[in-house]
Amino acid sequence: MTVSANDWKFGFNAGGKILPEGELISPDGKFSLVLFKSQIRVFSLSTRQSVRSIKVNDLSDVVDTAFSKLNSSAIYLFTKTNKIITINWKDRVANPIIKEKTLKFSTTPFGSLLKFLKMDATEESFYFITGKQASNAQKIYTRYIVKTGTGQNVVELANVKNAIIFNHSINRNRIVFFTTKNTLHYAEFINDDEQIELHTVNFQFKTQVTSLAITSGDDTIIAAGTSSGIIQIVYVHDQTRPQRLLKWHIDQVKALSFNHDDNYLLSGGLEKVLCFWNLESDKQQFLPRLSGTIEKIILQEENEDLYGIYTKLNDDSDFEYIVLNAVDLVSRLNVNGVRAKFASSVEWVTKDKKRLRKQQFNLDNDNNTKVKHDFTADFLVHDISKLVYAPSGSYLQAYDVAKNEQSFVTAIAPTIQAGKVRSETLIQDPTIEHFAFSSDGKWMCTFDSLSTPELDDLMSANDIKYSLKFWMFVDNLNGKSLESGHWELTTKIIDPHGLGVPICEIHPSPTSYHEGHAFVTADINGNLRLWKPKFPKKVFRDLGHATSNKKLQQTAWTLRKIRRGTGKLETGAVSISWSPDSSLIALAQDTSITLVDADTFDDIEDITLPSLAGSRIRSLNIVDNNLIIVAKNRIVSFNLLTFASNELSVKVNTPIGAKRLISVDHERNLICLGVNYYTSTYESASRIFVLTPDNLKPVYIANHMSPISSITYSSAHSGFVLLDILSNIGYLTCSVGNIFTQEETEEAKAFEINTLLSNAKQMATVKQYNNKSDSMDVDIDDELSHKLLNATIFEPVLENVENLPIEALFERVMRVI
Amino acid sequence: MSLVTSQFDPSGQYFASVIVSLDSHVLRVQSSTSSTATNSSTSQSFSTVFPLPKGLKVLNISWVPNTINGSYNHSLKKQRLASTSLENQLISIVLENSNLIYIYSPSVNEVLKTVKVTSKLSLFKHNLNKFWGLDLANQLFEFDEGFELINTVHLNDYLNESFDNVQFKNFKHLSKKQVILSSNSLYLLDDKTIEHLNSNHINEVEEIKLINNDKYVLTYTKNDRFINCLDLEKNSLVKIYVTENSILKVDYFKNEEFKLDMLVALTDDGKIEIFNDPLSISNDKQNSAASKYSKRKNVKKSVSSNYKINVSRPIDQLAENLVFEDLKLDNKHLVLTWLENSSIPFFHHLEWWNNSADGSKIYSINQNVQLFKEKPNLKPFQNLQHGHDVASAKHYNESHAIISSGDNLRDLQKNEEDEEEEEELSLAEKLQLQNKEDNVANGSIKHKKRTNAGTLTVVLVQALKSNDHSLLETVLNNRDESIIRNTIYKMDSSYAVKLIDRLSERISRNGNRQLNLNFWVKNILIYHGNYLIHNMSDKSNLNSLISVLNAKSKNLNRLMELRAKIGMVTDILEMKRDMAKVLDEEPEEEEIEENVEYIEELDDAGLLDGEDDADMDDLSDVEEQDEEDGENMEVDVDGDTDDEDDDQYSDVDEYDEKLKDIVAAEKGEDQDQSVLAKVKQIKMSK
Repeated sequence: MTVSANDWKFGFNAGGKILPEGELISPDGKFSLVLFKSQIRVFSLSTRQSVRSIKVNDLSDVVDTAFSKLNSSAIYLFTKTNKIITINWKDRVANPIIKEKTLKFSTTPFGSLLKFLKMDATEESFYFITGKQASNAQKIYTRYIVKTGTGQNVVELANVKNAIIFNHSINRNRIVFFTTKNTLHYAEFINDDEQIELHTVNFQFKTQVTSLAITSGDDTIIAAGTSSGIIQIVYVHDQTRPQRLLKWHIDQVKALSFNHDDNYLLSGGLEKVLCFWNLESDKQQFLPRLSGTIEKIILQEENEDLYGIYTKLNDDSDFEYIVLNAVDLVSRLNVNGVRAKFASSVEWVTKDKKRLRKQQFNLDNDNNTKVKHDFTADFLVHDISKLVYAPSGSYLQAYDVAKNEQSFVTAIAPTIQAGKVRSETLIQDPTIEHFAFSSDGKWMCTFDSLSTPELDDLMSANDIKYSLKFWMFVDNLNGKSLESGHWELTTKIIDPHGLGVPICEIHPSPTSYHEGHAFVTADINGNLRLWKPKFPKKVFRDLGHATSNKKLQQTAWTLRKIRRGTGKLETGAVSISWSPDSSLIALAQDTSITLVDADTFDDIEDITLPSLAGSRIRSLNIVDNNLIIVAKNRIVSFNLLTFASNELSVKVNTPIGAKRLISVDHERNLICLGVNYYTSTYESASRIFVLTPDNLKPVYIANHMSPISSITYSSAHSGFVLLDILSNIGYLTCSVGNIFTQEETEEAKAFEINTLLSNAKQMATVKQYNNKSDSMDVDIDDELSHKLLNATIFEPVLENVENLPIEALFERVMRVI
Repeated sequence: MSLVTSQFDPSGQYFASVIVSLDSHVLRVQSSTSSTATNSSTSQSFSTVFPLPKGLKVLNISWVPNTINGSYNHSLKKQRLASTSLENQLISIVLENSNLIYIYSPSVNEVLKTVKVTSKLSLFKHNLNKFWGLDLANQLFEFDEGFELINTVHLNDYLNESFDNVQFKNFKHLSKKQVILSSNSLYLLDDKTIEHLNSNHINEVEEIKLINNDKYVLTYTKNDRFINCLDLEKNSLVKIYVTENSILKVDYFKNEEFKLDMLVALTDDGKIEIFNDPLSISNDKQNSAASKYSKRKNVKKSVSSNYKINVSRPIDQLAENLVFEDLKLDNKHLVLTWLENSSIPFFHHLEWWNNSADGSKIYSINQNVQLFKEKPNLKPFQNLQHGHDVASAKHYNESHAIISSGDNLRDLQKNEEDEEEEEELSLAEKLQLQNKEDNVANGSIKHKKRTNAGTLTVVLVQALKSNDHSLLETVLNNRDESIIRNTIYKMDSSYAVKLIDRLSERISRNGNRQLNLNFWVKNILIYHGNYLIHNMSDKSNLNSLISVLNAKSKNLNRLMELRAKIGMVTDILEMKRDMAKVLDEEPEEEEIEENVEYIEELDDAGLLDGEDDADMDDLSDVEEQDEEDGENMEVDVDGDTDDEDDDQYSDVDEYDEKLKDIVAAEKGEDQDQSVLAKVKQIKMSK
């Protein structure tokens, strides 16, 4: 019985990262548009939900956006490739792109579009700031203010040489520049926007200016934020008035903006605090504890009571877009991408490509999977809430794939909510190293580490504090709030494996073992520890209920069993796997595998496994009776009962985090494996194999154009959930229940080989599989266009339908199809 | 009733209502169908809210076809079809305190037109393809499709003297010429004459409904319990429908296809009363009974309602008074609406007829109906939760959690059988235990002989047996090592574990006493170690000791490191000082020889208290002090206390600086460098 590729459904439809440019709030203040890499998402500000997403091929070139004033359903996108793309954002149409026009920029010295300023009433001519694309914030270029349109020539209205940074007023009538000679210039549109008046402003230079703002009203005031945190206010309209200094920030001011009536100045920086300066009364207001450092404050001319704010959440350029209500300063919207912590950042994809192209590297079968960087990330699906979880720093993000938006972010370790400035940056927040859900999803176990800051030359400088935490899922049963449940900390274990010993893996117990309410942890020395909940005695529980004393009802997780490692080997390459019948734990340390009796936690010494891995083991999995070993340069399947290697043995190079690239469906005994490789054009791509433990021929192969970061099996979605380096979330599901009959295992039994033979076989199979996969590519591409629809596919669509507009429901259906 | 006024559109799909919100009137138009689709949640699919300018009060609203933008179609059939879509409908808003009529379009949520009239209108509606308005001075205005006034009829002109002071409140066109007018009674305007119709009410007629192919007129008034049905041809009352409470609203519908009709009335206690088949003559059973009590003729025809519909919360939920606010009867459904949260209309669709078993159509409401509606979640989103912005990350409270450490081995299990800790011991196990205890008792006879009454051991054992903490405390307060040793020696081994537990408890609680208690622990391990090894294979019993020892030994390495560092620093210092002494001695002698010239005359003259001497004195003073410091330091180091060490550091540094300065000042640069080089050399060799 075989399964055709038709029965498999593969696609990346959710997730992604926010682009830091091009956000918009509709003029009526009801919707906000946010750009993702391949889609524009429309959010309703009243329900905080995504009501529409417009698929556009690639939006990473977009530098600015604007609403059309003539056609309320059209927006303009301006790209750095000098294109103006008109998109219909309101209506559901097959092709949302109304027009795509390229401006005549090629022969001019004006570089490319940087910022859109305004357009004329007919929306034929546009005004831009142009120049060379700045690769970093402090580079010096000449900036031009030009007027152009389709078919029109570019008219230069003004230019400012040696400009470092610039900003425009809310009504986009004035533009202020800061140049290398430490001077301020501002440009103003006059004569019905036909001309530009350029002024130079006297100003006392203090320190490097990092942000600018200019008023839009009659009185021209320029605010300049500096790297030392002082904001300089220059009264341009009244030269007699001395310059003012606003002091509150203690580090770089990253964003500045005047409000609509120029009475307030909004500023933000590394402190994660939005400051409101009343310029007349000298009073200040603060909105502290934003989620990240403030990168951009956007006030649109049309909406006086909504502020858009971009905050940068971490060093991996993960942004959050918040819309604040100016009246009560409560958020109206927050938009997040999937915030996973990748072992190496996405930039390396392009950097690797450049490097290889430069070297004209010869890719052959041996080394095309030798991807230099580890693009993996921790990522799991919680089966009760169906949310996907990704840790990042000391926060855990829960992302709703069906709604395609962040559900919530929760802190897992105590953190300082204030932003860090100057020497404070040396203080590190705790980071989540590992996390796992129990198989029924009711418990979560997290492991975090906190290193001591190197502030003084203390002896404790190299100390790392570890803690293991057990969380209980509190489901939102009564439906009082819309959130999908939350986690409650029940037990915290300090230094779970002794002082300064880090844990390498947390493994939940299989369901057959105490309903799966147990976790086993492995440390660098090969010590195993079993943790189980200790429920309070019934008497106390009842008493606790009666007196509503929570302490009496509390569940404590305690250490139950210990397996002591030999202590001879200290390695980070530790992996464990617990057999589905809960009797056996396999422990891999470096290249050796030890079998541990799960009952006594003693090693099974009378059985010694042959040396299977040959290289450092990345991951172990027990599937049925087979042990699947992912080692540094091979993947081997070994039958523990017949004590023979299975047919499945492949030579492939795996990254350090390879354990995230393999996942097992224990119900159907399927293994899903992701392999990243370089294509012949040095692009990084990936191929996903679905395998059975005893057969070399994959059940299904899928191709994906970017590297895979994580694969995890979710019984709630009855399929594999995948994450790629671009933070997109995909599914790989099969609609057929039982894939293989037992007959084929008979064949596998006959497949007995010694090590020599297996090596020879491996070499043969590598070629075989490369050929095979090449030929298969064609098939898959053809077959992917048909999709099999059944009721289960639509299940996620019907989740959380309440409060969902009908359009959004249709959209979900379309997404599935 | 918190709705100012409300009106379903002719198709029953949309519901317009006016509520008072923040002291101004707000018009809300909602789709009534969506709440059946998602059942019980707010209707999100269509809902517009239009706040009227402050101060303006709405008198009534009425749905009118959209004649603006040319989408109006004159053909009646098409008109009906078109009227189901929202774009083709407008709402006219008659204001209580203004001469303006607002023509509002729900599809664009805007007032498209304001119609200005000369006097205040009481009613504005659409009849026979025209718009009509009635003012308080009995003037009937006629408007065209563009809402332009085309004609004014002064009704007072047609009134004859018999009904002089009549003020018309409502009207309904029968045909172009014939208009039914109403005040407390009904009148018929036929071309230019007004005649009185035989239907009277106590109050002003609320609504005029033409039924039965315009042959009958249904009228009712507010605060009254009667609905009159008048035969226009005969000018006589056909029926009077009597409700149990005052009427608020009435609707009638006849399904022509199946010949079913129904009259429903909303009463002011928020209940719906149903009259199935109201026009049939046969259902007069009860009336004959009623007629006995009344002498009036027309009472014969009075009909009371068949059934009632009520709405309330489910029994298990908090009781809350729910009342129906409006109703609409259409082809198949009875649409009922009530307010949740006193402001948001919710809808229920009830089929008023269905198929019977034999395929014929029957009334489906054939008993009193009680609807149960759960309190809906009216907060579909919250921007704040417990004062915490939802956009920000959630934080957790560590103080509620149990905090433990990785070396807490208390719950360690040997193997699976031990799992059920809480399970009671079986009889066999108890027996076994009993035997064991006996054995122990037998075995310990020997030991007991060894102990004498009155020794500390006896007291200790007593304290352990009886869990007497104060007694144990007196025993443990012994400081004499030999007594402790002897006591432990004589103690039975079986108490060792218990004693260790008690001791480790005390050590962990009070670190200062540890020195004393450590003797106890040490001796237990010496004398009873054998017992512990053999009988205590289960580590969990010694857990407390393990964790105490772990905690104690945790800082040992660090302290050793610190001690070594300090030792090194003092060594270097000492060496430097030695070096300085050696270097000082030689050149200083030379210097003195070179620089100091003894002149007897000066000495004699008492003039020798020169600068040089003063310098010398200072220097020696400093050196003396330093030596003292050095000695103190060594003492401190032996005391190895953490806090003072740091201070020591800084002292040392200071001293070092001082020394360098002095040496430099004394010897000039060359020599200074040579000294430093030597120091370096010595450092290297070390």
